Amino acid sequence: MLSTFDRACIAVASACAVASNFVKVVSLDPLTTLPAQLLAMTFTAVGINDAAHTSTFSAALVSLVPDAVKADTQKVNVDPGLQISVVVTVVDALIAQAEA
Amino acid sequence: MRYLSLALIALASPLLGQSIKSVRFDDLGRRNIIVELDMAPNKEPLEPTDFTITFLPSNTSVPTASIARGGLTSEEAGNSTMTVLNFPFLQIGLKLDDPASKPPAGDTQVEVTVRLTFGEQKKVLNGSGPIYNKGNIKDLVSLAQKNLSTAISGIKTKQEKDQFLGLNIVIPQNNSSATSGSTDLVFNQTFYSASIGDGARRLFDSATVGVDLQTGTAVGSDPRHFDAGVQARKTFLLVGKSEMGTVSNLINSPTPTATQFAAAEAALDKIQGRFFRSLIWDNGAHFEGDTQDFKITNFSNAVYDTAAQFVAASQPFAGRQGFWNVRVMPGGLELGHNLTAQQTDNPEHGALARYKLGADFQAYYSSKDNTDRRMEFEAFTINRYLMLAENGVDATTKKVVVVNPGWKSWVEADLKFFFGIKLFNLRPGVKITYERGSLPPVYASTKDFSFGFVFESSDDKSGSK
Repeated sequence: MLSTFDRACIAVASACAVASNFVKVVSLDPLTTLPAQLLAMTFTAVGINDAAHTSTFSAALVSLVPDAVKADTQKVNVDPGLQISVVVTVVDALIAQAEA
Repeated sequence: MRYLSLALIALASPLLGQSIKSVRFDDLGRRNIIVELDMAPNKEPLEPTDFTITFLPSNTSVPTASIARGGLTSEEAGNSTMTVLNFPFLQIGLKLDDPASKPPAGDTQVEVTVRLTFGEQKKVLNGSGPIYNKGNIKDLVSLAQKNLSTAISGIKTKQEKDQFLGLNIVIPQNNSSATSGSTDLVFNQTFYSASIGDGARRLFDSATVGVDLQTGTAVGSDPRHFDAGVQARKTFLLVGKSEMGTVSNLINSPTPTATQFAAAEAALDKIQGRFFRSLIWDNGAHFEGDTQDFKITNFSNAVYDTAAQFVAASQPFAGRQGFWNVRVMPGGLELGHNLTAQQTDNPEHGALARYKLGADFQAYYSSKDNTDRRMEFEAFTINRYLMLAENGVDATTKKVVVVNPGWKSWVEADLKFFFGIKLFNLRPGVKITYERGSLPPVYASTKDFSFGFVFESSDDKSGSK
């Protein structure tokens, strides 16, 4: 059974993999990625380093999350300098609120 | 010497200064504790053990036997304990039907103590945070969004760094012996269609209000380019809908099967086989003008601008120490009208129409030794075909002249090296820039090679691992 946190991590890691082949999802259960500490890195450090690539990441993320949180996920301001874990926390909170 | 050795060992320890950044307990159908660690990423794995979980203020301890994958019942979980480390997060699940995993009425906080092992080193960390349930889950959303805004506001974009911390020395071209400076000022503010409504979401994802000023004081190095306007962006994914649907189904399913996990992993592999991942379509309107001595002079144009660009995924190289990516703009149109032409040698008030195409290449390499020594390279070109005659400015006479139809190109390349050392909380580096061509509306011929120093503030993590 996946928690909302698990689902947020999978959604964000998968969206990173859509925008950049620097990110590789090795396994989804449990979530294992290359680089191993993906969530602690900035978007820039994993090849999502400009507005074009953050736009690709955001479009992928919006398409992956549940319908109830798509609109709020689209409003998440993704800057290349942002640590990826910050976006995970927002997506986790949005899914948890929508399904509470 | 002994104390020096101990100090060096302590400095090399990844556990030094480590703490728990935040703790929360989600009591929302599933029961999970999310602990966020405050430490730099490291290539070696961390092993969390010896948990102590206490609900506050009643001081009720949760037995170790209650720890399991969140959402499972005692029967489903068996005797296995479950913790997952998705660094910097640590997720501790509690058995759903275990009365000991339910916070007593009136408790609002959870306290977690955990022992982290890294090789031979061990450290016990402690932290506490709120318990979230249906009644206060909106507080978690507000906090997460506030933390996002705070993080964004602390980030300096590349353009801001160059403007406020960079020092460019122009190497004079032509016969000028004066050493002069140059300015490349970009200001952007973004808002989102989701804030407006569903109708707007169909038209665009985000929109940016921005100002772009490029000017210099040396002859031959001043593109005299200014524009200000609004640009709306729509992003279309160029990956298979069925593959994205497979991954989305997994995320939307609270209890996915092993088959669903395998299918989603295969779908992501297939997606990563495609070179271009998205098509970005920009539409905007802007005002462009001639700049001289930081003033808009001579003339200005109002322009509608539309362009499409294909975005390739970043590709790793050198064992994931670096990556490169490209963007290609096969076509775009700039349509508009001249607003003013104050000088009278060749005043032409009229329509303007340009076709444009271009490409952008970026590469990034970071050293293996975690010292933040790195190299960044970006080169781009944009070529415009003027379908109608336009106004430009003669660099010598400063008079408005007619620029005849034809191709006008612009090439720019930036190479930056950062040395991995820190001086007064700044990371110094060098930047080499090459610019050649002409930009609307002035079409001043530019040929510039500059070398400068860049000082990046240490709290800016935009380029760091």
